[in-house]
Amino acid sequence: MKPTPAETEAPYPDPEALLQARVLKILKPCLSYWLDEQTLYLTLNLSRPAVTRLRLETALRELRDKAYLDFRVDPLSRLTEWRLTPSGHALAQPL
Amino acid sequence: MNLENPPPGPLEEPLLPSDSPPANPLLSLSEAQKEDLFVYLREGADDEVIFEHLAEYGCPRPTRRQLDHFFKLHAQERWTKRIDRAAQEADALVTLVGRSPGHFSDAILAALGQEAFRQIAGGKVEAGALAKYTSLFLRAKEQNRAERALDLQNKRLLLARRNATEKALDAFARELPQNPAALEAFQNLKNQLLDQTEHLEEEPS
Repeated sequence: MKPTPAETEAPYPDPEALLQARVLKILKPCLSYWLDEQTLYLTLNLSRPAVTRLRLETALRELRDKAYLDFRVDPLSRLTEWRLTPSGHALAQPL
Repeated sequence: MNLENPPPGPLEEPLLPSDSPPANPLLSLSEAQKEDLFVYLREGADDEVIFEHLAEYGCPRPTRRQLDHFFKLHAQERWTKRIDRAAQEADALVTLVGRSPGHFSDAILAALGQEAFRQIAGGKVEAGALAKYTSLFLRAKEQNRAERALDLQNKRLLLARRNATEKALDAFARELPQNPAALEAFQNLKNQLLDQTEHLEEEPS
């Protein structure tokens, strides 16, 4: 029997919130260290669903606006780097 | 989905499609054997060489698809583990350097930790290799410090000898007018030295 379209849908109704949760989960073990955006992007795309740069940037911006993430531009490498804020750590705890 | 209440279950789907090869014998290898095989695959070893190694492990000959499946899975695991452990490894490195003799400022230690984290998390260097380089650096630094301390000690010794000689000569000079024998010995020594100097001057150049 062929699966119906409803059965093949992603299990999470809100893919953007899912992406934000995945970002938090990756950043959680980094503790107080800064993880550069390229490594974050690469890590996210090792598993599905695939993530575009645009979606990642939007997710990061939203998390930053909610004060779950902090960012900086490394003065030497000029890379944008991210890490969890204390409230971000608390939020990522169950992930 | 509300981010504050994440759903149960994994946040991501596995890398491999659901029709991945069943019962891949390569997944039953020991961790060391898996790592060995992964290195061979990563470096582009010939299939026959890989099969020979696997035969040594008592592993049945895999298909190309099983090899690909193993490679993807192991590479993903390694990457994830590396990010998970990068902070711990960086912290350990900072502790190692912080405990070493000599003082490093907090700013330097923080910068070292961040750089170590970046290198490990970015897959540019293995955590073990970084710790090894740091140990070598600290050992070399310690050796350098020991050599400088020895050098300083030698200089102090030479200075002490010179001071002692000067003191002895001063004492000798003070004794000379009151001691005719010492005065005579001194005059003889002086004449000898002058003679030697004259002979040196007479020698053809």
